[in-house]
Amino acid sequence: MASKHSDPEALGHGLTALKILVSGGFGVGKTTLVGSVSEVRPLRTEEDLTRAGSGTDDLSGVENKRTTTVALDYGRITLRDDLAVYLFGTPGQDRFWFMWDELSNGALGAVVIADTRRLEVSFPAIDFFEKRGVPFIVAVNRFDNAEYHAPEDVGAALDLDPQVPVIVFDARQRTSGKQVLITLVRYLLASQPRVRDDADAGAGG
Amino acid sequence: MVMAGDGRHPRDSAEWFDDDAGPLIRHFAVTRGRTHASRSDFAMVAVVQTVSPEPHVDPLHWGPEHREILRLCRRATVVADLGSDLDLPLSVLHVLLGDLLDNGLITLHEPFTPGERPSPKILRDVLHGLEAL
Ligand SMILES: Nc1nc2c(ncn2[C@@H]2O[C@H](COP(=O)(O)OP(=O)(O)OP(=O)(O)O)[C@@H](O)[C@H]2O)c(=O)[nH]1
Ligand SMILES: [Mg+2]
Repeated sequence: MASKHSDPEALGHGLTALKILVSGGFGVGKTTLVGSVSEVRPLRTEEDLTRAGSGTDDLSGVENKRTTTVALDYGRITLRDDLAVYLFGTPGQDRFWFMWDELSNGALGAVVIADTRRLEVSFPAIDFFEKRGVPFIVAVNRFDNAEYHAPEDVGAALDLDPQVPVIVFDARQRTSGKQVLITLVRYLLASQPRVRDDADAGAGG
Repeated sequence: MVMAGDGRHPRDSAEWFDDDAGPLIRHFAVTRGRTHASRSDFAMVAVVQTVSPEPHVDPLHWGPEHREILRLCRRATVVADLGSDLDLPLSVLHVLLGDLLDNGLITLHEPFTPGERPSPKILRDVLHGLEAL
């Protein structure tokens, strides 16, 4: 497939860049997953404090400081010269909620990481993606001192639609993280409107 | 706690709605009325390319960052990579890209707009690519 020269699907000057979000509550393993499966690159933005808002920052004595720097979890997986997957972590702090909108704009899908010891920290992410219609899967990060819960029990506890895949993984391991991304892409393929396509015949498994 | 099988939507708990839904809704309203940059809607994975043949660019009119973007984007480059390569905050990059776009010096392709889905072919290519890693 790499030899294909003029792919009519190739968008954007022959370069196809796909965005996948890595989300969940704080401390669930977002940075760890991005780091284990992709080439991490430094990326930051400067956000208006009035926009970041809600008076969390004590501004007394720093009248000149109008913006705050936000470092983003960002990594790239180059699949071919003309095809790359970009991973973006959603910022954990409440005051950066507004950035989720921008991040999810044009996203292929999302991975919501859950920690079974505190599932509730991942509720806002699930609600957000459900409301925005961004397809997502849930990846349960297996922390060492966490009790084991079957994926279907976690899915029920999170009140997920039954078709949403839930898998258990270890964010520190590349092969495990890779499996999470593969699960998401398989899910996206399976949930596409069915189109008869001969190429589908050989693409099983 | 959360795993309780009492049939209640776990995410309906007052706990979560009171503490988190408020900021969520509030910030959505703020984003819609954004004012801090003329074009903060560039998708992070939009592809930028300098128009070819490359226009004459007056170095006095255009700053070093603008010229650096034009140089790097002779080869199609993703917005996030530009931010990383040039060590520029995305918010600043968005403004610079807006200037260049307004003057016809670059083109910008957003691969997928909200609601659009990539074709099964692209998804299969991604799947096979990931499996081969
Ligand atoms: N045992 C175990 N520890 C993990 C795993 N994934 C992450 N950790 C650890 O959990 C801690 C939090 O992981 P991070 O990747 O920083 O989590 P995060 O979601 O980026 O956190 P914030 O950015 O603060 O919201 C770190 O100390 C990790 O080393 C895992 O799969 N198993
Ligand atoms: Mg982190």
